[in-house]
This record gives sequence, structure tokens and C-alpha cells, in this order.
Amino acid sequence: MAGLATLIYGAAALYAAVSMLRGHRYLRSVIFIVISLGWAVQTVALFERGYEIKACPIGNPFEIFQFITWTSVGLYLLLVPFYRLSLLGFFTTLLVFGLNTLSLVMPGWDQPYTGPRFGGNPWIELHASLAILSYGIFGVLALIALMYLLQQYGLKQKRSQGLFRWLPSIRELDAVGLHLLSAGLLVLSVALVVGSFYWIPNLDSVSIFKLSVTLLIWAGYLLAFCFRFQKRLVARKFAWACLLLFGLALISLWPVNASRRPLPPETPLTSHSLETHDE
Amino acid sequence: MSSQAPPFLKDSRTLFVFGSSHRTAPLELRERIALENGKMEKLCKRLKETPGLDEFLVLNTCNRVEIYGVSHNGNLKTALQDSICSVHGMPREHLEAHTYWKANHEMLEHLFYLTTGMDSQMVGETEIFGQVKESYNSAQKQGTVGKTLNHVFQKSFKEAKWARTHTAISKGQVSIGNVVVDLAARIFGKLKKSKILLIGSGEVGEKTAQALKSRGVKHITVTSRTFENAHHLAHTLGGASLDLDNLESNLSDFDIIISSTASNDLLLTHEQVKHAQDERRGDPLFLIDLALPRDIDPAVAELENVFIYNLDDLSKIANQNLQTRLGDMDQLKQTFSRRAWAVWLTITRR
Repeated sequence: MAGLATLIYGAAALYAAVSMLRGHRYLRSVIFIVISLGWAVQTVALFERGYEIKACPIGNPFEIFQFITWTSVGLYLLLVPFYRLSLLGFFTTLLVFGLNTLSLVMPGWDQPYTGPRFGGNPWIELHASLAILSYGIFGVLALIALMYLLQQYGLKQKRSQGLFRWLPSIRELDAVGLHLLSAGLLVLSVALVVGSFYWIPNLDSVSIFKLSVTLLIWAGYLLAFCFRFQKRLVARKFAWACLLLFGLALISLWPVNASRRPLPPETPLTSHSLETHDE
Repeated sequence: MSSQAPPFLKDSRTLFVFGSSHRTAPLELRERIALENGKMEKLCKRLKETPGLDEFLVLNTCNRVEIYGVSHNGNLKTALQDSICSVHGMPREHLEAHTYWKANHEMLEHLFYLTTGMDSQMVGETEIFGQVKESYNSAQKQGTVGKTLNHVFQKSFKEAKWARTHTAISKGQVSIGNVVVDLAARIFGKLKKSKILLIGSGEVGEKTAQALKSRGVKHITVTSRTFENAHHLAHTLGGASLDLDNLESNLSDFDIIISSTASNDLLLTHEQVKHAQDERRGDPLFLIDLALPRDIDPAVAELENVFIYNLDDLSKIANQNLQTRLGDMDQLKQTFSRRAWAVWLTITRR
């Protein structure tokens, strides 16, 4: 099913690319419908996986990438009615097709595991889900940053043909970028607060490396937000920062996943699990 | 290809267009035959009385006067020509050599070209679509269009929309003012809140400011070496005037600066623009230098979020856009020829 969803996203990207290469703007409604179809298929795939493992399917790199792309597409579908950002559909399909394909072809990424990866602790699962949701938001933010850089480049180099004439204005992209950064940072902060309910009383069972990397990514986005808010990090520098941070966030998933320590399998699937660990 | 109806037609009705346009008539004649000051009503009245004319629609724009119609009396060219000449009080010989008559599928082809902007002076312009629609609505109100012309015009609107969506015929702007508007939209999106400063009271600068105003710009300020000129132009544009001596201190207030003076020296230096941009704290700044020699130091292009375009840059974009539009013309002509035949056959088999 994940493969089928990837193919659908790929078809949408191909349709948009071919339309633009022929000098025409693609039909947004077509892209929207095809992406929605891909998202529906991916939702079923993730649901099946979650049903199988009885938990949120974010237990190995394959699942994490699938969850990030699923979140990014969901966010795109949510954004479309509010922001009429042309080409966002095209860039979303490119990103999602690329990451999904990577997750499908990388050997050993979809290693089977038994039972809930987070010891059945719903707080940790919520923390992980929210953290990956924020990565999905940062993924769309990276796309917006890329579109911003392309539009900047086109305007500076006096290019007005092809892709450049259809990109949204840099002011719109800047505004949407700030909104997404705020939303992503908020979700990641909530994820960290939720996670801290477990980490603080259980420091022994937490990978310090994983915790440090997660906090570093969060601090990076927090700094970007503060500097952007003070208008000290604007225009191209802000866009590059968003791209770089998302790249780092993706790359950090490897060591973070590798350093994950298995939680006690007997942990009951109740909200009282924190008390269980405290004992 | 014959313009007469094919032999298998159920009746001998002719679908036609008769008129004169920028392709056949000089400007003086077009000025003379323009239907102004009640002449349109007079012409419509005469056409209603024309024997054999079942349906009609008159299109009157600055570049053309055309009569679209359905007749069951063959070629009405002479009668229509006489009607136009009579309304304008001019001899037929003055008009005769500058008109055209197209019938049946050729009329349909012509109408498709027209609504798509392919027959316009500025290829691909979209204003003509609105003008045709307006004429059609007016004809509908007067009851001069019937089943056939309704069908034909609805088809032509559909074809124009299709062409605009699927080809590059209307893509990109081909006049300097509109190229600037397009670029400004790529930087600022909606232009309603953008603040414009026009330096100099030259014609190109004024037209550019007008183009921006037509896209919703509300705040226009004019400055010039002669304050009276600035004040006068500001009044024309519905904006404010600024003393040139206060230019530097107010520079950071503006999003778009258009400069078109005859000054031999730079009016805006790298340092001045850098200082203004620092005050704007990252907000984009769009500079349009329409002057020769240039008014703005080209080195400002290296500043973050500063976009500068001179006359050459704008002309180059306008020419590229025109080439793109023309590139799709041949393909569109073939498509429209095919579709005109299809529509014509549908009409005749009704």
C-alpha cells in the first residue's frame, strides 16, 4: 500500500512537471485530487501497520519517514484552502515521492519488530507522534523555503519564464514560512514537554544522545524563530536556515533511531504507566 | 475553402461577420467609423430593419467595428456596408476597401481568434474577451441574438478559456508597465498595500505608475526636480507629492521606487539604498530604473532583498513573453480550425 501511495504521488509530480515543461500551468484541482487519493492510500497503509503492531507506526526508519510524509501531505491538504500558494502541490509531491522512495528502497529500514516500540507507554507514543508531526510541518516549511529561494533567484537573475512565473510572491512565502515555523515549534515544544513527563523520572532509561539531538534540533528551530521574530534572520538567510534545520532533523533520525533503548515490554498500556516507571 | 454552406445543410442560412479592424483599416478610418454618441443605437435600429437578417450582434472597440449575424438571404455585405456608411454619413467607397466578410466556419474561426486575443494588436491580451462578452450581453438584452448566435458565442467563450488555460497565448505581459506589475506581484503578492514612489515626471514612469494603480495600488507619491510637475502628476495619479530634498530621509517608506528622470548623475547611490534597506529590516524593495543615463546605482543589486530592473531588463522580458505567446499561435490556429468545423456542422445539423 505504501508503494502504491508513492506511485500516486510520483504520478502527480510527473503530471505537474510535464505540464510545466510544456509551458502550461498544471490544473491545481487535478493535483489536489491525486494527492488526496495518495494520502488516503497512505492513511490505510499506516492504519494497517498500526493495527498490526497495536501502536502508532513510528518504530523504524521506514515508518518514521512514512509518517513524516503522511503528515506533510496532510498539512498541504489543510493549507490549500487557506493559502493559495501555486506550485506547493508540485513541490510537496516531489518531497513526498523522494522520501517515500528512499524509505522503500533502503535495505534494513523496515526491520520487523514485535509489540509496541515504546513499551506501550501512551505518553511516550504521544511524544514521538507529536515530534514526528512537527517534522512533517518542518518538511513543508523546508519546501516553502526552497520556493522562496527559487523566487529570489529568479528575481535577482531576471528570469521570468517557466517555473519562476508561477511561484508565489516572496512576501507570501515569507509570511507562510513564519506561520509554519511557529506551528512546528509549538508542536515540537509540546512533544518535548510530554516526553519530559517520562524522561525526568527515568533518566537512566533515556538515551542521552537521543535526548541531546532532539533538544539541539528544537533549540535550532527556537533560535531561528527568535531571530526571525526580531528580524535578524530574514530573507535568504532565514530560508537557508529552515532548509538546513530540516536536513539536520532528517539526518538525526538515523543515530537517534539506532541509539533507542528498548523500554520494558511489560509496561501497561494505560495513562498510569508513568507511575509504574517511577516506582 | 468555400465560405458557402455545404450542400447537405437543412437550410441556406449563413453565419457571418462583417467589419473593419486594425488589420484592414488605418487609424483615421477606425476613428471615423467608431460607434459613439448614439451611433450604435442608430446602427442597431437599421440592422433590425435589414431584410434577411435573422440575428445580429455589433462589436465596437477602439480597434474594430464588427457585425456578427445569421442571415437567410445570402451575402448581406452590401446592405451592412450601407448601414455603417449611412450612420456615419460617409460614402461607401471610403469603407469598401477596408472591410472583410467571413462566413460560416470561417466566421467561427475568426470569432475564436478574436475572443482568445489572437486577432488583437497586442497578441494574447484579455481585454477583448470582456468586450465581446459585454457586447453579447447587450445584444441579449436587446433580443437581437437568437439560438444560433447564442450557441456560437458561448462556444467562443469556452474556447477562449480553454486556450488561456492550456496554452501560453495570454501568458506574460508584453508592455513595460504590465511587466513591472507582474514583477511587483512576484515580490509583494497583492499590491494594494504597497507604497510607490515615482521619481521624475516622465511619460514612461507615469504609465508604469498607472499600470500599478490599475492593479489596486493606493499609495503613490511623486517627487521631481520641479515640485510643480511632481504636484501636478501626483494630482493626476491621485497620490501625494514629495520634495526631492526629502527623498533620502523618506526612502525606506517605499516598497516600489520608479525612477525616470533626465538627470546625468545618480539619484540613488548604493549607500543611500543600503541605509534605506537596513531601516526596512529585510522587507523587499523593488527598484525600477527607467532613465537613460541611469538614476540608480546598479551595484544595489547585490543588496539582500533589493531587486533592480532597468529599461533593458524590462524590454527583454516583454520580448520573451511576446515570443512565448506567438509560439502557440500556429498550434492554436490548427485547433480552432478543427473546432470551428465541428461547431459549424453542429449548427447546420440542428
